[in-house]
This record gives sequence, structure tokens and C-alpha cells, in this order.
Amino acid sequence: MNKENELAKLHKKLYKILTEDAFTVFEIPPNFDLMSASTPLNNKLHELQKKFHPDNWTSNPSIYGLITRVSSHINSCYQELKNPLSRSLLLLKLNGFHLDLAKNTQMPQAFLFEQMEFHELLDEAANDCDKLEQLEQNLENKQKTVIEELGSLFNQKQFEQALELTKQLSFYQKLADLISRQYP
Amino acid sequence: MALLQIAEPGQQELQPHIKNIAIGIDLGTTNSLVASVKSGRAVVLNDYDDNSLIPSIVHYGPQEILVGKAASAQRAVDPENTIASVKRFMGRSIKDLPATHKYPYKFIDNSDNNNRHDDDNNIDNDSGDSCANNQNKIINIMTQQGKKNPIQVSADILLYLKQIAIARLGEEPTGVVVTVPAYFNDSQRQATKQAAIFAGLNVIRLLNEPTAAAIAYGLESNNEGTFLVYDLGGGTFDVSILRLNRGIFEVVGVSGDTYLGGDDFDQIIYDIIVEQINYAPKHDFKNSSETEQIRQAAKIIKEQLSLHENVHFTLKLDNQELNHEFNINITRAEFNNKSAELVSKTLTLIKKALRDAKLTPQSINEVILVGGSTRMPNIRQALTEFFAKPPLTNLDPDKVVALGAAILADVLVGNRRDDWLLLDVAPLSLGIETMGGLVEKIIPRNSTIPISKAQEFTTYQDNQTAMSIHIVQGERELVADCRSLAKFSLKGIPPMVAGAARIKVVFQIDADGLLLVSAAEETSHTASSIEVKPSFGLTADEISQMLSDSISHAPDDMNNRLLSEAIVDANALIKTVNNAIAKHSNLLDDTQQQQIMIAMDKLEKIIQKNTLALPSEQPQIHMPHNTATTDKLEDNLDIKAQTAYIKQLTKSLNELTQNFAAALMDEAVRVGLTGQRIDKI
Repeated sequence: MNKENELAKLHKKLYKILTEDAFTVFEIPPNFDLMSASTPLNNKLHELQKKFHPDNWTSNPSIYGLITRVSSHINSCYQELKNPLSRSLLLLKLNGFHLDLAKNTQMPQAFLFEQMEFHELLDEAANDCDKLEQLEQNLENKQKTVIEELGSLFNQKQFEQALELTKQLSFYQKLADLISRQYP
Repeated sequence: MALLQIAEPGQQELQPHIKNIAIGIDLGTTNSLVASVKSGRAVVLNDYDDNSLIPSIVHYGPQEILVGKAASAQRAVDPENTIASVKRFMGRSIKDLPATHKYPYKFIDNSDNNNRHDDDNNIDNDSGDSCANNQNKIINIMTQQGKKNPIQVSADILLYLKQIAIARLGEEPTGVVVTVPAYFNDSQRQATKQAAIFAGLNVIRLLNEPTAAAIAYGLESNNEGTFLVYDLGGGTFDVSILRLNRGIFEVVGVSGDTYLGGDDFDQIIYDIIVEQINYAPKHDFKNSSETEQIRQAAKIIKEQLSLHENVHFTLKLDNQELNHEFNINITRAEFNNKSAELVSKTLTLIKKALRDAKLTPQSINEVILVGGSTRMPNIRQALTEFFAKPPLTNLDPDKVVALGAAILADVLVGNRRDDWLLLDVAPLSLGIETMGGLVEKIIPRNSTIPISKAQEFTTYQDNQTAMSIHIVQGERELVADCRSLAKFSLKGIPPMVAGAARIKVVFQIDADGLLLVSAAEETSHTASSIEVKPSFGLTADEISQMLSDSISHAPDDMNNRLLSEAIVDANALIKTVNNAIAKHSNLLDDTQQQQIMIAMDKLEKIIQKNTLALPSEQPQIHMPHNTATTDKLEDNLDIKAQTAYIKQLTKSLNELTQNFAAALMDEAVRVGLTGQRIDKI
């Protein structure tokens, strides 16, 4: 009957969301620069979770599992978009460029020297909050530059260069992770 | 019965209660609480002695199981069979317990047969059967009632809380929210949920304690902004940062330490006492009741130090060898000095939470305190200095978690459809073991839950048909430094050349913070089977054993339920009779009226003896009642007899009022409201 029809429609809609990429789920154009989005990412997340969070479906045990998967997918998409590295990887993938960070580690020499320098500073800064914060700040500035540059490269559809820069971003991110582990 | 049916039309009490009964449970290390939303307000349901804080202590006596205050009294007498702070053991093994702590229990050693370390880093071959982590086995304690593990002990506490709720609410709860420390890992959460299931509770959500506190505060004050919750429980410390904005409660970051709690502050006072009475620590008290007596004194002194600068205490140690009185004198300054390190440890964790959330102390609008230990002036002062504003204290730090849990439970069972939603996070990163014993993060901590992540794996050898995946939780790089959660054996992979198989494994953390894993081989459509070997918690055999054990509890539960039902029926009859007498006493002569009154009085007294109505709800039943709880134990044992007695008295009151009912019916017919009333029947 009508009710069954509606349930079938809902199922279809939920399964469709599960197959969608993050940009589609969040209804924003696939662009590295998120400033062009009409609603801030966080607001959109809230809007979506108000619809699909399992807590709002407790009276429907039959689709509770599916709703949990959809809600999970939305949260994963949010994370993917929020993080510049995963956002960049997604955009590259959508444009046919696959980057395997584990295998693709060829880097310019100057960059590698800079990395080594960071690691040395990190060793010195271990357990020293002030030094760690300073190091974090330096790294953040570097990342900011890379992110800005990535924005314009994606705008100009220069995916090959964007791919190279994304590799650098992944190094910075690993370093940031290492720094945060060094705090006492 | 007859009377019930001819009550005035439109009388409210005849309407059936269609509300779902939801309760929130704060299952604490030291104390537990149960709360519920009554007429739109969250209230704590007090125990049989009208206390809201129920000691999380279970005493396994030769015959009976005591929980709460009664069990607490057994601590000094029979510490071996009186299990306290069992939450510290949840989801843990013996080797996880800090060596510094001395426990009076008889732990059962599990690592007797095969004691080897399972640290093989080969995840690419079928090591499914070799990964029994003997060292990671669940803790077992030998008591007078046999082997008990922490899940069973917790279930006994939860069962007691459930009985209090039934007695207070007159109905069985349909949905329960149980709180856990935000920093609890998957094994600890699983263990908690399992305990609730053994207690026969329908768990609708495991809720992080600081989040519960923020719900209680945020919804009460209706203030939007950023809250920091400082939760110092008996055995755990949690920091959570939450944002309340446009009806969304969003946890933005958590941090904590599962080995830091109020008990550590007690320990400092304990050490000072031992020093002052010159008790050589090496004197290994065989009878650990002395230790217990000192520990209880330490608790009292700690509480006193929150009120006074200086505390004198006379400690009497009852013991056959020595029967002395010791004069203990501790100043707040000395205590503050010795506990400064603990306080600064908590501040470090606050800084970490702020750093993760990219916030500063200035960006926190309010600081919320949770846990009785946050009454210590040194903590409040440290927080006031750090945030440049005093913490909020308008809700009782002991009750705020239970209240928040009750509010969420009420929402989740569908009693209210407020337009607000809770978005909580996973406190710890989830990762898998890769080559060389390193961890690859799959879901980073502070990810909003529920969340899922798919990961693809391939085979390393030709014709490899199985592989095992080791899942860990934690922030460290090495598997050995993280918490092992489970090993999954993937079997039935179709034979292919190395690297050709593509196994997609989906890791999902649900809204309770619990991990679920599913797997599928993508290239062929052969389904791979997945076998879970939890590193902690229970094996299938243990679960079935415990389930059969818990059935032996069931009659107890059943009796309580029958008692509650009898009381509900009796109360309904009394109410109707009272109403009828108030309006139509002219239909009765004095003797009849007196007989009815005597019968009602008798019934009311016995109900009073057995009911625990909320004082605010039904002021006519005051607590503590005059019959007093002289012998609670006897009352408990007699529960069937009490039920039968109430039923008998209800029956005789019903019979006694039969004529009255008939007279009322005649009266009604005479007045000419017949049609309307017969319709009602």
C-alpha cells in the first residue's frame, strides 16, 4: 500500500546516499576551496544528521541498521571534506588521478631536506610544550601555503601538479601527527 | 474492581499510562545512581533507605547477595567477598591492574596452562587459532558464591538499581541509558553493555558520562556555547569539550585517564595516616580489614578537608593483636601539597583536549564539574585560575550524570520530541596492525559517531585462502602500546595469485561507541566468513554459562515485579474508595464506613512498608516510614509473603466495598447517568 511504497522509496534513497561521494552527500560543488559552498560544512552536517541520525529513528527498528550506516557515511564524508589531504585525494580520484601515498614517495630533494630539519627540531622539542607549539605553528604556516596553492591548482584543473603538492601535504600531516604525540 | 469501573467519567486516574518508562543509570566506580524523568523533570530515584548514592559494592554472602549500603557494611568485616570499585576491572585483565594497588580479593589466575606472549606480527597467514591471548583473559574473583567476573558483579549492581527503579516507578523500565567514562575503550564498553543485558535491562544507549553531565546542564540552562566538563570519578578522569548550538549537542573533543580518580586522592590521605600511626607498610595485613578501616577513615578525612583547614580524627583499629586509638591530624595545606601532582596531571589533560579542539581556555564559556571529588577546594581553585572563571556548581556533581542519562533516555524512548540531537565522538583512535608491529589508523579519535571506514586488503601469497586482521585501539605507534581489541580471521578467500584478491573490510563504530566489523571479497562473489576473537571480554562459552547463571537470579526479579503489581492494584483501589467515600459517604452507615477505613488503613500500612514512593510525588506516603527498616534482609526474603498479604488485603477491601459499589451504581442509575456509565464499562 501507500505506506509500503513510502518505505521502499526511503530504502532506495538511503541506499543511494551510501553510494554517493562526499561532495554529493554534502551538496557542494566538487571544489578544493570550500568557501564557494552556500552553507558552512558544519551546518550542513547538522542539517543532515538531524535527518539521518539513528537517534531520530529509534521507533523504526526495521531500518535502524541501515540508518546507522547512512549516518556513519555522512560523518565519514564530513571528515573527508574537512581534512585538506583527504579532500584533495578525493578530488584527484574524481578526476581520474589515483595517488597511492604508500607507494608514491618520490619527493624533491629540497623538500626532503626541509623534512629532515623538522624531524631534528622535533627530537629537540620532545616534552617541551613551548618548543612543540612553536614547531606546530611553523608547520601550520607551511601547510597553509600548500593548501592555498592547491586551491588555485584545482581551480585551474592542473591535477598533475596538484598531485605532487598533495604528496607534500601528506608529509606535513604525518609530521603534525608526530608532533601532537610528543606533548607530555 | 467494581468500584474502579463506576468512577466519575473524565477522572484522570482512569486513563491508562501509555508513557514509556525510561531510566538513566550512572554506573560509577564508587557509587551508582538511577534517575528518571517524572512530569518533565529529571529526578534521582532514591534507594530503600532514601539515599540517592548507592555504593557500587556487592557482597557475596554464604546465602545472599547484598548490594549498596548493606554490602558496604560488609567491607570491613568480610573484604574478600565484598567487591568494591569493580568498574576498575571492567574489560581488563590482571596484568592491566596497577601493581601499586593492593586488593583484598582472591583473583583466579587464568594464565596457568599456556602463558606465552602472542605478539606474532604475521597477519598474512592463518594464525586464527593461535591468537588466544591467555594473558588478556577476563578477571575472575573467587567468592563464597563461586567465581565472579566484573561483568557479573556489575550486573548484580544494575539488577539492584533496576529493582529500585521498579519499586519507585511501579513499572518495569522499557529503555535504559547507561553511562560510561568517555575514555572507556571498546572492551570496557562491551563489558558494560553485557552486564546490563545480564541484568535484564534493555540498553538503548551507552552514553559518555561527561556528555550526560553537559546534557543535564545545557538543557537546564538553555545556554548555547562551549562547555568543558571536568569529570573526576572514583577511578577515572575525563575531560570533554562540547558545543551546544542550534539544538545540536556536539562533542568536539575528549581526553582522559582511566587510571586517575578520586581514589588516588584517598590514597594520599591513606599514606599520610599510615605514616602518622607509624604503621610499617611492609607489615602485610593478612586481615585486610585494617587496610579497609584506614581507607574508610581516609575518605571521611578527605571530605572533611573540603570543609575545614585542619582535621583531627581518632582512628580506632579493631584488631586482635592491637586495639589502639590513633590521633590523626591532617591539614589542608599538607594534603594540597601532596596532591598537587595529581591536580596538575588533570590540567595537562585539559590542555590536551583544548589543543585537539583548537581552542583556548578563554573560548570555554562554562566549566562543568562531575564527581564528588570535584568538591575538593584545591581542584576548584586550580580550575578557577586556569579558566579565569569559577566552575558551575548549581547541579550536584554526584547526580548530574544520572540526570543527563535520564533526560536522554526519555528522549530516546520517544517520550519527548525536542528538536535537539546529540553528536558524540569516539574517544580513541581505531587502527589495525601492519607489518612490523606498527599501527595504521583507520578511524582517528574524536571522530563523530556513528562512523564507518572501509579498508581494502589483499593477499601476500599465491592461493592464500585466509588472513587475520588485528584491531587495536589507542594513539601509540606500536601495536604493543595500544589496546588489543580483537583478531578477525577472514576465511574462505578464493585461491588467487598474490595481490589479486580484494577484501573489503568495513569498520564501523555505532552510536554506543561499539565496534562492528564486516568483510567481503570483492572480485569473486564468494562470501568470506569472518570470525571474531575478542581479546578481552567473554568467549561464547562464558556468555552462555553466565546467561544460565543469571536465570537463577530471575525468580528474585519476578517476585519484585509481582510485588510492584500488587502495590499498583492496591493503590488504585484505595484511591477509588477514598474518592467514593469523599463524595458519597451518605450511602454508608457508620459501621460500614469504619470497617472500610480499617481495612484501607491496614492495606496502606503494608503498602507503605513495601513501597518507595517519591516523596515529591505522593506526599501522603512519607519516608522514612515508622515501621522502619529494622530488618531489610527479612523484608527481602519475605517478598513473596508480602505480595500475597497485599493481594489478600486488597481482595478483602474489594469485597468489603462490594455493597458500597452496588449502592453507588444504584445511585448513579437513579440520577440518570446510566447510559454514559455503562458505555464506560
